[in-house]
Amino acid sequence: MRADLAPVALTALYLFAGAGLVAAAYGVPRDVRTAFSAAGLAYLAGLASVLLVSSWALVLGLPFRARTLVVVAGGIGAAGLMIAAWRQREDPARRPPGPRGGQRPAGPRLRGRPPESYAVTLTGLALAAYLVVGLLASRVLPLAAWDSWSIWARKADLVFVHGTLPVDVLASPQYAFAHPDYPMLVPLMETAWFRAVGNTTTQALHAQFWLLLVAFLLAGAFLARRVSPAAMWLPLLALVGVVPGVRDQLLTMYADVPMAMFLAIGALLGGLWLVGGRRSDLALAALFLAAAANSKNEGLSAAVATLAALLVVVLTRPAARKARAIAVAITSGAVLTSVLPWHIWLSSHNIVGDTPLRKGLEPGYLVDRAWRVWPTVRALAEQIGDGATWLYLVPLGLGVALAGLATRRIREPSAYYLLSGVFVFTSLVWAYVITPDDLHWRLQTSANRVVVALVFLAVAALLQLAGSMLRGDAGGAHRADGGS
Amino acid sequence: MVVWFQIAGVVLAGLLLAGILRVRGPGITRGLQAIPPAASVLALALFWVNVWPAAKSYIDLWRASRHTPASAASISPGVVNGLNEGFLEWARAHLRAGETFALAPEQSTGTLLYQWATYRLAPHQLAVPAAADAIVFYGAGAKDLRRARPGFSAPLLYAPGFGIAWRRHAR
Repeated sequence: MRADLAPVALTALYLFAGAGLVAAAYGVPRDVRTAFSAAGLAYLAGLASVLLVSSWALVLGLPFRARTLVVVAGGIGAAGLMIAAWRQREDPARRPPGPRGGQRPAGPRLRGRPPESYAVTLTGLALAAYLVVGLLASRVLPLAAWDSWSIWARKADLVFVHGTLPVDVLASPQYAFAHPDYPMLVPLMETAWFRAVGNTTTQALHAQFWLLLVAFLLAGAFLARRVSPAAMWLPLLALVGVVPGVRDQLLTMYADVPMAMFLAIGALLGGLWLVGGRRSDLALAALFLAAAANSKNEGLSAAVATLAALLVVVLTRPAARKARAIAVAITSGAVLTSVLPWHIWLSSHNIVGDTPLRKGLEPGYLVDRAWRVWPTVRALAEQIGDGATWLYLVPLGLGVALAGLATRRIREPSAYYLLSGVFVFTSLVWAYVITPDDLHWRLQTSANRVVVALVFLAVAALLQLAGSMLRGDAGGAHRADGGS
Repeated sequence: MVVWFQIAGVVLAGLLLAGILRVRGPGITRGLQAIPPAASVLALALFWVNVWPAAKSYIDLWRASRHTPASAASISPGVVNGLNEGFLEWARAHLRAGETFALAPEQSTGTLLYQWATYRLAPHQLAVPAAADAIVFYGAGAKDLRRARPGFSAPLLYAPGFGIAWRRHAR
């Protein structure tokens, strides 16, 4: 009974926290349909914020118990709703952004409906049915992938038992194989599940990861519909749901796909801010990029790369350059601050990772290892070009972004996504260059996983640029909250 | 590299679509405008080609696993790889709260047994033999089991080669 109700209770907690944040950012939804469409973003925002705050509390020595979850989620949700109510009083017309213009596309119609609406409805129904089937299967899967238990579930299990960070284990050289320096957001997501069900069985935990995919697709739809007709974004999101590389990796319960999802939503919100100037978009972008940075070490470099791309693009446009650069700097500061507690804790316990980051900045060390660059570039490019695994998402994103670069009105967001991709790619190559491990072994065991960040960046680019290219703007037309 | 050919393919598909739909505008703009719809059409086709095989694979997984108890699913890596799950469960039950353990014979950190045993016996922590409260014998030879370990009791056996010896002060 508890195992059946646990997912509902946990989902409700995350949703409440996220609903507060989304309402604070965009206003309180006025109808059920809008509230439902915002549910995916709310779930992801709630999960990210609750686990981020909990991880900081854990570093401070506070225990992570069911009570902690309820208090943190309740506090975030209530604070968000209070801010939303206050902002609503200031601006009564404020409400969440709706579908772009509410226009119906011109063209031939069948009995009053445009023909593509039938394809959209049918695809939406097929996707929903598929997601339900996936959810049912994910509830009964056996534990399988090595790192899922050796790294992630191990930490989750120990926090569940001890209630606090297992210092003795993480600082012990005998557990160095479990990468004690990896951040705690994903293990805490698992511990939250264990707390909810009352034990450490991992079978139904897979459903928690599947729910992330469902929420990502809903969140993508909520954001994309501001700039794009459903006929453009739905096929792209539906494709993400069935991509073998995404769904297979997601259910291994590794942290790569959750990190990439946070990164993509953060990048998309950054892109929407770039064009629309809505500060709420940038604030939520900071939250999601912080979640990516706290999910994996590669997430930190990817978040920094995305923010660097945003800053470069902002600096190249004279209009409001200073104000926008300051906004990006504040966002970057928030993201970097979010990882500080964990890194201070690691440093105070002399826990170091296996990647020599400081050495990685020394020119001599880099020159000695320059031979690693080309094999790494080739291996990563091979991975993103693997059509059977990724169903061409990266070429699609690159094709649209390159076309956008040649289209004056969406040049800025296109440049932002292309630069983000280049910076993330470069950060991955750098990581392979400086790692002390055997390069071929490292590439063989991880290249297929690390490229998932690039795949999801391509998805973010597609969601913003595809419809904008047709319609003539990339998100600027909708400023329902007056740029709040 | 393949990925560049794929990008060229996406652009060509856009140009082709622009021709088929007779999109108006200057040449290059016309072609560029059609790339996003081409990307969406391609995505739609790929979704429909893949959705049933993906759903079918989940249906098959569900059928194969739906009767597996949660406790068995959680120890699957050990069972699939032929580790002695019965013994690990027994050892976990016999180690007392807070006791640390060492594995004998010693294992390299990269091996499945090392990592799985430390996962299954958590929250008991692995320690070097000199500091451990107990020695967990996993597949030890008779000689290794018989060998006197100063300060440790004779092993309590689960099965030949499998047992636990405690440091004398620990019990």
